[in-house]
Amino acid sequence: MNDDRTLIAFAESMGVPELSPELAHAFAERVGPVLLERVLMRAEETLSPLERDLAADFIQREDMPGLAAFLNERLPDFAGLLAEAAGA
Amino acid sequence: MPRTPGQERGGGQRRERTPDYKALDRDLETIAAHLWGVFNFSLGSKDSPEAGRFANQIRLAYSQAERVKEGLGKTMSDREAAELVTSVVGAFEMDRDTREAVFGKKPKNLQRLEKQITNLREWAAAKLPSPTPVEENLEPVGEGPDELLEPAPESEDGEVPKNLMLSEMFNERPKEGAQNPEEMALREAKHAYLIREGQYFDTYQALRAFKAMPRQERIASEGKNMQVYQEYVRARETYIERARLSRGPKAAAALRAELVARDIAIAGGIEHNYMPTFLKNRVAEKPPASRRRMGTTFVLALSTLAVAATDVALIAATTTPPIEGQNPNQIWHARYGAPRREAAPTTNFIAIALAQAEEARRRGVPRPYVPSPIGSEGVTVVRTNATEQTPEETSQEVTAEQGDVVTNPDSAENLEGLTTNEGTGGPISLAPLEEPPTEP
Repeated sequence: MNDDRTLIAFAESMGVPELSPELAHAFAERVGPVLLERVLMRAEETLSPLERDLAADFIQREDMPGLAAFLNERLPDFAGLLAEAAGA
Repeated sequence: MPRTPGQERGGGQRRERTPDYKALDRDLETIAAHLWGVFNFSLGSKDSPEAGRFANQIRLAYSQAERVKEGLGKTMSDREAAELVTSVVGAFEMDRDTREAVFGKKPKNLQRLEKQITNLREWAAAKLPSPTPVEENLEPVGEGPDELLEPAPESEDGEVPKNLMLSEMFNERPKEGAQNPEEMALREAKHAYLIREGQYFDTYQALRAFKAMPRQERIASEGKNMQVYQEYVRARETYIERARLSRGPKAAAALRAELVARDIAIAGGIEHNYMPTFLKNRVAEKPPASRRRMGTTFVLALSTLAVAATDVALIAATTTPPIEGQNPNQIWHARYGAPRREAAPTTNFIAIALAQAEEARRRGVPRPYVPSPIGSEGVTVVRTNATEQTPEETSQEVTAEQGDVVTNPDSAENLEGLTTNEGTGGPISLAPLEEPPTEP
């Protein structure tokens, strides 16, 4: 239920209001991987080789909460990076 | 080299014919074969000095073709395959001079390559623009002038993609005096519909062309890109409004979701080909279902981070002078010292929340708690309607002082209705359910 609300809020923030939970989930499934890949592409320019390997380990284990926390901690401009990645 | 749709078996004189989209629909393996044909050709011509620039793209394209093959007979839908094909083909969209420099100047070879790429692009384009799959999830809402939304007529051979060729029908204007008034009115209405739809698809194709440009060129033509983007957004909004009027708000919302998601996916897919990187490839190597799951949980994880960050910003807002810039552009300007270069569809509430949190930290506001464990059920996002509360009511409800720690879950309810990014489309407030640490 919480996830539904979060995903609906996320869709709204991307300019897609009034979605049902099912459609919000489908929207996140479409947009989420792109956002993730674009964030990683930009993050890689900043991360050290060791940090890069650590991030790859999170991806390998598909631990996205861990990856998000890791990037948030290691990247000084995570907010700007996210905003840039979210721009279509 | 696999046989292309326009190539007859047995060699000798070849007979050109229109690609058989229906056969392609049924046979995903044909797509994979086309992709492999393009890639084999590319690798076979890597003697040219410039080919090295595309080596990474081609390697990545191979892995994507593997994903196509992986999807055969499994879970990959036509739509997913079409997106994949589009992203792969994007890597080969370059001007003729560049293409000759990379792949050599033999006309026959270039023609074969272009033919294969064209086939793939047309197949994918015929798949992607249709918004119907999302709408299929919805029950029809309301009644509307259905005759205006009936599919565009097919071309004479019946093989033209449904929507992409609408712009070519502009010349089919009603001939005055040729029909009775009712028929004329209907044709005028259809013509107006075609123009509206055509505008959308024309601008969409223009936007895609810009997105497909190499990054350096895109940056160089930033102003033009912005103009194309704005025109596209206007056309898209008209397209969506049309759906709202004729089919109701739910269908319009679904259509918007489909279009926005597709725009982002295609832009990301094209960029994916131009800038392959180590980490991004780790994601690309995952099966489609895993990537979808990872993307969704990543969004949820970011939202959780944003919740914690917004909490910091909320505390800051109650204890310090207002954070400068409460609308996205002002915040962006304050944060980065320059106007936003490209108008994204809307503001990313996650980024705004994190930017506000950073601003709060810069002002020396202590963090009330560490957002841990991330992704757990311990944090709830509560969507609120900020317009229902007056500023007076809000100020009475928020009692936190600088340095205060939010220790009572009930206090989070007091924050309901507050928003740190009011007017940006992303009002959220917090309800931390876990007992936070007592020390900041």
